[in-house]
Amino acid sequence: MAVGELDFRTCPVTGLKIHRPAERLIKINAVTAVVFLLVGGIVALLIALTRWPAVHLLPAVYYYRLLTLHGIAMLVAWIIFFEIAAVYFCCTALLNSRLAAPKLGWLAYFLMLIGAAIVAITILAGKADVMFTSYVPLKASPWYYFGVILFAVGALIGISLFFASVVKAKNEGTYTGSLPLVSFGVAIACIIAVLTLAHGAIIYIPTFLWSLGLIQNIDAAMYRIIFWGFGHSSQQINVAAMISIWYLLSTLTVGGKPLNQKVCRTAFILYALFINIASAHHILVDPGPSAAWKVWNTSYAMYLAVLASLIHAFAVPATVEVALRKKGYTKGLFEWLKKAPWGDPGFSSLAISILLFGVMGGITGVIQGTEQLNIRNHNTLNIVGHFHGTVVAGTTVAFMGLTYYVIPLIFQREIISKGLAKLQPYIYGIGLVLLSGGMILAGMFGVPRRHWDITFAATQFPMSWDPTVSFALGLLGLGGVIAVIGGAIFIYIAVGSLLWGKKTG
Amino acid sequence: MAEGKGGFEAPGTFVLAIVFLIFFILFYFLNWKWLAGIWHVG
Amino acid sequence: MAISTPERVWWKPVDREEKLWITIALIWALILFFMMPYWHAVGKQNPSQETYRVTPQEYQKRANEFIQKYQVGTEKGIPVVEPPPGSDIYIIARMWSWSPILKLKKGKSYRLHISSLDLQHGFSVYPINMNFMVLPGYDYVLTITPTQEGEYTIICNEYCGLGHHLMIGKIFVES
Repeated sequence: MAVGELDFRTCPVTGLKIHRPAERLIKINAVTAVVFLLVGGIVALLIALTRWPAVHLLPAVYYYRLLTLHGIAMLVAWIIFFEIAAVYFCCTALLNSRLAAPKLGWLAYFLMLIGAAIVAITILAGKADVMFTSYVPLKASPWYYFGVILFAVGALIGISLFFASVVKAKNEGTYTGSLPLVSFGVAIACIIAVLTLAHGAIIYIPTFLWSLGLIQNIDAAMYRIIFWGFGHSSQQINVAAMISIWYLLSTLTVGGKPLNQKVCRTAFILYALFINIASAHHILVDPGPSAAWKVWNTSYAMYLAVLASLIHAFAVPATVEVALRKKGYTKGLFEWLKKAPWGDPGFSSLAISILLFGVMGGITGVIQGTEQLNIRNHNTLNIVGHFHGTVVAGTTVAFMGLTYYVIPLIFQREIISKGLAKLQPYIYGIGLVLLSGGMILAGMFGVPRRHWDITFAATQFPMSWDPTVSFALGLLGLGGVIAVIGGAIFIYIAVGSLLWGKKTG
Repeated sequence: MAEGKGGFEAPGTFVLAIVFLIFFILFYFLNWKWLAGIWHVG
Repeated sequence: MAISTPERVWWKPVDREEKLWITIALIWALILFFMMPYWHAVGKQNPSQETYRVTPQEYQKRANEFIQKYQVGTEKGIPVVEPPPGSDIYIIARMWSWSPILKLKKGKSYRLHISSLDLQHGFSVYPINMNFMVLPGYDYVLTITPTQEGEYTIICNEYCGLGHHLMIGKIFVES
């Protein structure tokens, strides 16, 4: 073996062998992710306060501009930079192995960083007020699509490194038998990521050429179908990554051991096979596809991706329960729950993530993805409530929970302000319940998403809404403020620990 | 191995999962009821 | 442990409790599917399957003919149209208006055409909360039957540029 042992250190807590060049990449990607979380969070506060009618903070043009930026900073930059960090961790430390080509990792990082920066600057310059979806024929500056493409190429290189490193580890015999469950889940996330990025290439490259004037016309209906092959499939990467992190946290926090690996792994495979489901449900009330096409492609007759989530949603808490029962909390049905380590922010994040992902994100997602029920949901705030339940209360909370372990294990720093860290997941969680709950409630009354003034005060027909709507939008505003406070505490603790945390190891 | 209720290893989780499912079922069918109240469209 | 390689043989029988949960979940997933064809058979609210390609110019021409034929007045600058029940009726979506204003009869069905002359728009009727996409190049035909009388507002719920929140229209339903 050509690798010097000097390239490795052993983690004093977990005993995992850590490849230093991989570790540096994990660090830079994680830190960059948190920077974008900060940008997206500041913007989140401004747009939440605009949708709260009592405040109505921003002028229209800045509302739409910053809403576009919020989508890109959070859904693309924060989430994917963090995932790349997690992906490198799962193909090196968990396999006692090294990253196949760290230089390519740096290339990937800079492509993503430059791409994200170009997109953000183009939006802030007012050249891309097109929302995250950039539905044609709404046109942004070519720089916008170019930045997205650069970012996607970088992400694809990062994902390829995962596969290359797994193969390398197998060849060098650093692990034997099957992949650990967490790495397996992340491998599924990477497979979905390749499919997703392929859709992204198919739609963004022609749209880029169209924005340059090299292509005459892009069909609006075709754009929507392929865009969502990218737009929603990328959320499925998040789901697969999040659930892998649930299993990871169940081990780190209470020493959980999956009940049945066959069940967990099969459920992950269902994600990879049936994830296109999620893409078709964006066009349920579009002209074009037949009802048979819509019904089939959103369900494959048995909702196998939903089934997979229901299986994980049982398997992860069951893992925690069994581990805690082993520790002696066996009284009645729920002693284990009472005695669980609620003061460990990693554990409370795990619990909040599972609960809110299922109740707020999952249930609404299935309802909105049902052909006929979509009539009452499409493009209302209800949809936005759904995905803040999944991608924020689910994925982001899980990522935050993991960070409380990443800082001591990878960055070798003690967490600062432990008391505040204990509270952080609860503050953030309560904020999100109000935010998403307010959105879902307002959406039920038909309040549209991406809308600056639902009173239509400047038109010939000013409009009044059901009184419940102002209550719901108040919840949204209040929840937004609380969630931003929770997010700010997280960023303070994460960054502060890196700067001033006591060095360990 | 700790003994759960009825030979279940994780009886608490099972109960929680069933509660979740009942809520899911109720809310799901409530949505159909709301849908039935709007204009006919086809 | 979820972070270490599993024991050599992990393909093991599933225990009773997990098997039971998976069975229940699968049955529920089948019900979720079944509800969609069921509603197509018996329900009165289904997304329309009737779509035609149309150029914006052609669509505007047809809609203008429709407006001229059945116009009964103007309200705040927008033509008001009262078409006979059962007829083909048109709404134009453009940046940033809905036109014309429709007067419909409760309990009668109409073939409502929606299309856009420029960007993508969202046809959203308040307060019943009924939403459909409006795309340029596509004539989407919804067969609708208003079931309650009253004044309804059409808003746009797909972002269509900086005047998106100015896009408002009306439907009046009379008995």
